[in-house]
Amino acid sequence: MKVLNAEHISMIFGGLIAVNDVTIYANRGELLGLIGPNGAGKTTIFNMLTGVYVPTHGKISFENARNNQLTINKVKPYKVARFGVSRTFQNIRLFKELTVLENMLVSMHKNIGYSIFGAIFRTNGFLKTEQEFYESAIKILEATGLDTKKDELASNLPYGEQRKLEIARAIATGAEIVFLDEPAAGMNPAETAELAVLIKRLKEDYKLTVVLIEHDMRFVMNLCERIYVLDFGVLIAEGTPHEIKNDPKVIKAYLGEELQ
Amino acid sequence: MGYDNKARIKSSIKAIIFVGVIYGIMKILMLPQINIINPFYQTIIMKIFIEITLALGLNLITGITGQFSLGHAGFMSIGAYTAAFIMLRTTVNVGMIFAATLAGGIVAGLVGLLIGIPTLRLKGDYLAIATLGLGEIIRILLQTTSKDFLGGAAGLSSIPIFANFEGVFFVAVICFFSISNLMKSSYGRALISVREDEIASEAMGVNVTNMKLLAFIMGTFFAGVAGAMYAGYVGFVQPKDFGFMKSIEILMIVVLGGLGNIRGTVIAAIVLNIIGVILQDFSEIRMILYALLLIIIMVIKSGETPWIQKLRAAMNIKSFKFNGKNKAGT
Ligand SMILES: Nc1ncnc2c1ncn2[C@@H]1O[C@H](COP(=O)(O)OP(=O)(O)OP(=O)(O)O)[C@@H](O)[C@H]1O
Ligand SMILES: [Mg+2]
Repeated sequence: MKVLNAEHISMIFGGLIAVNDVTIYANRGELLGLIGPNGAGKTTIFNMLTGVYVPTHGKISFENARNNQLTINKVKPYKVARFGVSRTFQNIRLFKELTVLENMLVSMHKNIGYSIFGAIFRTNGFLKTEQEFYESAIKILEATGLDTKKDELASNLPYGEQRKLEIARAIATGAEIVFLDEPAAGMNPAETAELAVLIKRLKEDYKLTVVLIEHDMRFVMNLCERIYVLDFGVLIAEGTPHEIKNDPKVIKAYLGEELQ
Repeated sequence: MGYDNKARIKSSIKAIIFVGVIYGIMKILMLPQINIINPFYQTIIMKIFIEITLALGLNLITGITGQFSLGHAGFMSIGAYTAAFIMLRTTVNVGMIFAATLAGGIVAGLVGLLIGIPTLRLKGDYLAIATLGLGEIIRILLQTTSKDFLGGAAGLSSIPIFANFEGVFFVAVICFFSISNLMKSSYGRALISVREDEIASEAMGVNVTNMKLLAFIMGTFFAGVAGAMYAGYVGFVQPKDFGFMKSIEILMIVVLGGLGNIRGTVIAAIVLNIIGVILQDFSEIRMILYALLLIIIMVIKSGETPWIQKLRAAMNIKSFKFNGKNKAGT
């Protein structure tokens, strides 16, 4: 069943066609890759899918586990997030002055069960919600291996853990679909291998559909079930890792000879 | 999470004792027999508590939520005039004092909401300029009012003195605990997330516009309440009391106390007022000193030249960025 359906989407910035008539979909529980050279338009697609940019042309719709449909046409990003769609950023965007735990809790704010007055007077509703938030945040942090660092400022984490925290924070929104923009960027091979295991496990535990952008081809080929290839804003190929590796167009545009 | 019912009771008791002790000590020192806090010092203390309330509200908007506002004195004037207008037309009793003060806050908060909806879309410097302009517009509008309505340039005088030490003190206390409890809740975390990274905040499902409005309404509400206290304590209000320099003075407290630091705001209000008393015969020098301090602090906190960054690192100072430097979604 399709949880994401983007049909013929384009994004034009002034005279630049960053994304040109792209159609992609995701089935529930799939782990998809989106690859392509620098400037191909990958991040721009994520921005359209999460409501940051309004596509110049085309239609994007989501379906969540309760079979609700959301067509995002000029829907604000926070509403897209509330529907169950979350993401990470290519340039890490953590809340630096908040702790690891607080970063997680921000993602749950949308489910808040008390009012401003509840917060000021510390009502029972306040205690209950805070306790619930805390428990589910800790659970995700444990699954990510960040629970021992919950009280550190996000900015004090090493780079690799900041990337992990971004993933954990995206999951904490209760998302069903997460978009990961270069989750392994800046990681060494050992960290990258560990990250692949983590993403797989989180996907199973939290019943996620994952779409990820990545330049590390070994990572993508090992992890993803299906891959889209983008070049100059145009979708040039789609298929299993095996098909992509052997696609002459992809080799010419992006992979070069390295994976032959 | 270490905050259960027991912790709640404990922190409430601690707060009550703390406030009670401070109140008690000050009341004793004010006793005519003891007269350590003489009437001269009392006026300074009144001023300090009013400024604490003003600065805490501005800290919520500018320090915590990252929305640079230079029009805080304008909201203070709305509260002051509202309360004065009411008190000039009613008998003075506790109920009316309470109602007039609350009305001052509510009217200021409503104007804050109306002004916030269009202006909070602006970023950084643009928001600062817009709020500066709006503060001045409020002042000029007050100047053009008729004599029997809001008194025009001469303002309103002979306002019954309705704000005593208790009023001013408890307003500041309520303001302090409202904001500090808010900060320890999900709302507080969401407000900081807006300051830290609007785009990420929105992507995590936070309604950024609403959070900015929340900060703005609450901050301007307290500015209005503080203004009401000011009117009720000084006994007259004039548009020129609420000019741009007043906004800067409040901002000065917030910046010196540390943007986003609630206790720092309280300490800075006290320190700056003491400096003000020492330099009271040199009021021009004082304003120059304030302006210089403000510039130095802002450069050190937000400067991006390498040597400033090094200085920050060497002295372990946190950097501060006003909203507006975020490029979309990368
Ligand atoms: N807001 C914007 N305004 C104008 N041009 C933009 C904007 N965002 C992206 N672009 C342009 O669109 C093109 C695609 O950019 P995008 O960031 O989507 O590439 P990418 O595939 O993510 O590349 P990389 O692998 O380097 O991250 C680039 O030429 C970029 O300069
Ligand atoms: Mg990119």
